[in-house]
Amino acid sequence: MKHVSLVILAALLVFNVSEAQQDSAAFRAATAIQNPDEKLKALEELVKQYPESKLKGRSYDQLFTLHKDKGNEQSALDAAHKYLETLPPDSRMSPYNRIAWALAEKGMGLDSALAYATRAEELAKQLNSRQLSGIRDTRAYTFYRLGRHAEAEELQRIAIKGNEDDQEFLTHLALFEYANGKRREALSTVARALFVDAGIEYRGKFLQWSEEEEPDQAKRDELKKSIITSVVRSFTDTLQGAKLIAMRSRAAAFMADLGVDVKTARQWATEANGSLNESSPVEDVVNFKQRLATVLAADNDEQEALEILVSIRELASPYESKYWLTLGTIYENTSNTEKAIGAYLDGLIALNPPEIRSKLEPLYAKEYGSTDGIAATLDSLKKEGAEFHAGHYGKQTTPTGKVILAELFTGADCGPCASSDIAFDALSEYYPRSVLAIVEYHVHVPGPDPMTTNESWERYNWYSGDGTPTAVFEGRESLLGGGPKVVAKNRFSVYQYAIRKFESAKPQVDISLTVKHGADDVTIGVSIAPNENLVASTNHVLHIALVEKSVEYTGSNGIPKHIFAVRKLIEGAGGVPVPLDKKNVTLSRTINLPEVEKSIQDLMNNPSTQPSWQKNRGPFTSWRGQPKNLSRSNLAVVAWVQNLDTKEVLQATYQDVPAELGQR
Amino acid sequence: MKTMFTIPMVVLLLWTSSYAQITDTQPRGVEDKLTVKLLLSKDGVLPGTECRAMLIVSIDEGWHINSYIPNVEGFIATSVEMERTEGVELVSMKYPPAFEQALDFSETPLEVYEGTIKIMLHFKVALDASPGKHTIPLELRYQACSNEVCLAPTAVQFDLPLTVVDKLEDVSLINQELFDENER
Repeated sequence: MKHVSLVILAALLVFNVSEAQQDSAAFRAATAIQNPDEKLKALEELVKQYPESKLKGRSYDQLFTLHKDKGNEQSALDAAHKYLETLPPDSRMSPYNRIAWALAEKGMGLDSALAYATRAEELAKQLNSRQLSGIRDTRAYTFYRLGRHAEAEELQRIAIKGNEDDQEFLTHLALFEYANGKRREALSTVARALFVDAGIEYRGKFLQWSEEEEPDQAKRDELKKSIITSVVRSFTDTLQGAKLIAMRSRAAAFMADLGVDVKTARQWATEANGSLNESSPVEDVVNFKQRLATVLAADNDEQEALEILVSIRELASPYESKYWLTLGTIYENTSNTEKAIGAYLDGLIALNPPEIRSKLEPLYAKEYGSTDGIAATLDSLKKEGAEFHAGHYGKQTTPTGKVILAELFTGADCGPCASSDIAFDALSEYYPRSVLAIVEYHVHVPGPDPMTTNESWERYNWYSGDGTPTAVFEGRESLLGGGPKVVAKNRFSVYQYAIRKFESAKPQVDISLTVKHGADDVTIGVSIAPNENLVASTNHVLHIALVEKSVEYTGSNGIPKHIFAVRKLIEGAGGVPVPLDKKNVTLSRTINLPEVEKSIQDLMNNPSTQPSWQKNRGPFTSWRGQPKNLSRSNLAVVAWVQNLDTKEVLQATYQDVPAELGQR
Repeated sequence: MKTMFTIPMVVLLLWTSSYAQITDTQPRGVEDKLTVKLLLSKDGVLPGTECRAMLIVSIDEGWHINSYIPNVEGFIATSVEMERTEGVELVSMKYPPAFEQALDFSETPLEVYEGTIKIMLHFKVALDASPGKHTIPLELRYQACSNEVCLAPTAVQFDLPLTVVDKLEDVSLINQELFDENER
């Protein structure tokens, strides 16, 4: 009897597990459907078939969006209600706000929208939530859509406190002021919104409202100039030096875009562009040049504008919507439709900004008859962003013989590291090791990574690690951030740009390396000779890294292979001091490979006992793979001399560990 | 729908007191990508009685932190820790249900927290606790990621000010609507 009960229990358990798997499969299938009508039908079927499914909430949430987009007001409201019912009351604040906003934006179910927004505000007040201002903004907007303009403006003035330079708060306030007949105030507010990057539709409103306020052209120009100058001065008056140049660069694009004082705008944008040098951050290069292009285009120099934009295209991040919009617009204005479409599509790879989409779709439809091909083209571009041919450097050395050191801090469970990992793979294809020496340190950020060593973690902290991925070139140029695989090509371009800056740097020491592979060890001989380029002779260290050229391990970010993974920093994270006031420094180290493997195994067997393992990790029982043993035919040594004060790398060198016993 | 769960705690002892509806938490560490605030259910606590606290964590837009029990092995859990303090026992902690988010880089949706979340703390003051104002050190441990960057695990420290009183008339209930709603 007991056995029968157990069998029944087991069967029920299997059934429940099986049913959970079925509803998950059905949900995945439904959400993968592209056609909205079919997707809607599939989701409705799912909630009927699996009324107790834990995916019911998410299904109703998607049904709300689908019905709303189709204009089915009652069905949208029903779905919203059912979605909210699946949530604990204390978790509804953000969903109330989101649904209220979606309805208000669509202009549907406005009474329900107001009720939801009001409820969200109540919860936010009780919680003293940081989202309170945003929620008030939603409620104010709902008032506006209901025609209750005075209440909208009153509430928005409360919401905007602390958000006076947020374009969304400003644009909404401008709408409400305008609706209440306060046109001058609305113009000032929308101008400020435009300065802080409000969408293109508000540019149209600024121009339209200006014309309504001052029908006379000359007076209107004066009015616009007065408002724009006032906004610009509010941002620039307190600044000096590089910050002033940067803010004026921003102001220049703003002024040019609205056709105000283009002469001053050109002067400021040119000055900012002229301030760029080899050590300028990539962001400044892209922003300053892009703004100069905007000004030049406004001053009828579209060809020059285009040249500038094209020159920085590879550096422009897929997340930098303004760049793609500007490039696309100039192509459009110069009647280059195909390239305009290309620019807009590139602006949609990582994000889906409405201002780009609204430019792309009509143009695409005009060119190709419909917008049907956009999704497939975007998929193809995303694939190209993740999988691309890097090409080749074409030379075996830099002009000066400098070997550039590229260090990457990454993690196998780090999603944003995926693009950087792929980019570094591409760098290793593009540059020979006699030009670029690569080391990749793995760290337990955000999740456990079996290639982490304690020295890697120490080195991450030595560079004051701000997060992963972080790429450091020559110890001096540190680039934080990556993204999903689709932005890998951009990351490669940005890293290449950083590397180019160091190609003409002169090595300050000459390093020669001998590597001998014994039965169970590797013997490394290093000879360092300072040369005539040496700037400072004190406070240098030598680092020697034993790297595995390729380790197979797939973490949660899906990257299956990791190149130049640091398995041991021979002299620890701090390196060994090298006194360069002497003529030559030589040293020899023998690395016992079983000992290295043991330290790897210890780390993998007892990760929580290691200094590199942060407190408060969730339960951890097993690694996804077991890269415990070194692939002895797949090792290399990277050595470099680094200044501890400036972190500058004086020279680096790379040597494969010979697969066969013997000496290279 | 995931249900909230209760974690029985025996480790931590706690003096608590509260003056206002929204307790000044005085963060001692850097609040990176989030801010914390505290609400208490009473403005004074009698020895031998219980009190509740609500830790409100507002996470910056565009960022997420892992849930209390991450669905990926070894990820840093979001959790509250307290220093041992004589006289008070932390009876339980309740963490909110996680939000399953499909992220660009992950094939498996991650169970994360976004926006504003509430962590409920339930504690009991010892019978022999002496009246007075006390400060309880707390720490919120978490690890944040955006679509572009993952930050190293970190923690923000803050203090929970509590007053232990010896007269019932010195105890008033505060923030009850919020606590009652949360208990439903």
